[in-house]
Amino acid sequence: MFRLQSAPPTLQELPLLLAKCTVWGLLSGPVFGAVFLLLNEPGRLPAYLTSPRALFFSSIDGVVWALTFYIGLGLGNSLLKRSLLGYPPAIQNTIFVVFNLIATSMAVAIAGTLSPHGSFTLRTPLYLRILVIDSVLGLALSLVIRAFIHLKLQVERTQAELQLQALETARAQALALQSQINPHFFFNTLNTISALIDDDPAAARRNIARLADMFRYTLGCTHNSSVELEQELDFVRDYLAIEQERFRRRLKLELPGGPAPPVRVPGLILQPLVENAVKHGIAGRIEGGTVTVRVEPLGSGARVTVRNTSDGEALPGEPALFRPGHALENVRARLRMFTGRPDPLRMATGDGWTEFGFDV
Amino acid sequence: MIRTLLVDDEELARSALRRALAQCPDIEIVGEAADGIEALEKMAELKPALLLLDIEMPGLNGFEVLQQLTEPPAVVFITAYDEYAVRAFEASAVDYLLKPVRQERLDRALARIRQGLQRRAAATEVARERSGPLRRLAARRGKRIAIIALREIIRLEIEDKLVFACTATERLLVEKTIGELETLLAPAGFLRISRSELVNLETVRELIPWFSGTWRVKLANGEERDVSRERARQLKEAMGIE
Repeated sequence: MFRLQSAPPTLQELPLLLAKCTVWGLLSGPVFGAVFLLLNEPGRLPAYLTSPRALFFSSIDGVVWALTFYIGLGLGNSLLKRSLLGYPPAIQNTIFVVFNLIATSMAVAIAGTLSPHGSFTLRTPLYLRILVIDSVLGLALSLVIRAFIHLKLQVERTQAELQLQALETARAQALALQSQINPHFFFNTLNTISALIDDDPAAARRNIARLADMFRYTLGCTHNSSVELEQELDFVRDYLAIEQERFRRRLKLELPGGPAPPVRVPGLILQPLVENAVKHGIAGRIEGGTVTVRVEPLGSGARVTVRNTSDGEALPGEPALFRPGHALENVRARLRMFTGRPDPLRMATGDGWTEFGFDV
Repeated sequence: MIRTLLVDDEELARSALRRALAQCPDIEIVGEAADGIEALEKMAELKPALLLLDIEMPGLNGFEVLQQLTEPPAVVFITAYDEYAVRAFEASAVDYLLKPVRQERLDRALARIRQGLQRRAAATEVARERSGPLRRLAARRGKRIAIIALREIIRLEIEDKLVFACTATERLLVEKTIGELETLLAPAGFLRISRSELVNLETVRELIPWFSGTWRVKLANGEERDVSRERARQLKEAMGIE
């Protein structure tokens, strides 16, 4: 009946609510009348239940009580809730209890005076009535109303959180899709394989198998939010093996030998860093260079580093390095989401090398 | 026989092209180069009639190589994946091949070249558009080809009908005429200050009034050079004076 809500009803909603309230009072009046009669004079109950006149009067009384309680307590509480938003819960609770105690006793007094037939009065001394009925009723009402409003807010907040989560997931998926391998790589690989078919059929077959594995892995990564670091390393090994076929002596590799620590990483997080290393350390340099991938245990996690030969030139500034849509920006955004750290991608340059890395 | 130079940084790509070209009896592969600088050296040495030129290469890319050539031969560009370049090629009807190369595409490109249908200037135009204004210049350091960043060049001068580029430390022979260089380097901020000299405006430190309407410029390395009367106005305009 009392439609509890975190916001008070609008003026347009009010007539409907009052009408509902009236119907509720009409229907519940006889029931409450019977209860009160049971408490006062149980002997008269059968006569009451068989008298349409008595039941009708109780209905009228019920309407008066319902309207009084609704206007005083229902509307009062929702207005109160709005003005209390933001205060500490303890203060909110205290004010609610005090308000409901006062409002209940006033409502009981008003309804008692207004209701023409006095169906709902207890034949007890006034002080006892105020003490017992008002306190119990007021406390109970305030608790129930509080609980309802709290629940309602909780539901709203959960819905908002769920929406946010869905949004984050969608963003992570979009980023994962975006991070799929550079199409240049596939074209170059097809070209490599095409040349190998005559020169070295076994190598051609080997590289087709590698490419197939890479495709499978890429497809899998779009569905899973994270993968084992070891899987990522295997993928990168395939990638570098194919690049080695292209660059031959110009590309030297240093890869981790033993098994990687059992940690999970976002799928396809390592490959863009390795691709970047090949691009800057090998493809752009006539004499080529070395790409080093290092994995070290770090507490219960791992530290991953990708290093390439460089002329020791300073890295371009952040805006150039992390252009929107650029692979490094993508890696950083995904690492941020995965680790929750604001700056998860390490960068360093030294004498003849540049490196990128992250901790998981 | 069409004397052909094959330029691609990948050994396998060259071997695939060699195999495809073996089907064409009138193509003679006179040399191969694995990067842009080697390509320029081989061009000077072998003077081929046809250049099969990969775009993505270390050192100088294919477009930059072409920009350095004073008399470019017929060119067929090769790329594995560069949709923007391909669009530019198609727009200007420049011959190009996509890797992996299909025999019939290669045959078609070669047929056009045999018939002399290729617009050679178009290839150079596309190269200029695609790689933007020139940033580096090929010059000779003895027998080798050196690539100098334009910002390192302080001035270029004629001596004994040869053009030299002067950097802070070196003086290198450039195999182009001063007129060609004037046009080529104007977008990069070089200005002809006299019949025999171009200066990099970046390195001009002082403008000194000299005799009867001529000026002198003081350059970053401390040298002072004469500016002819006709060129003084252009110089002052370029420097934002008047």
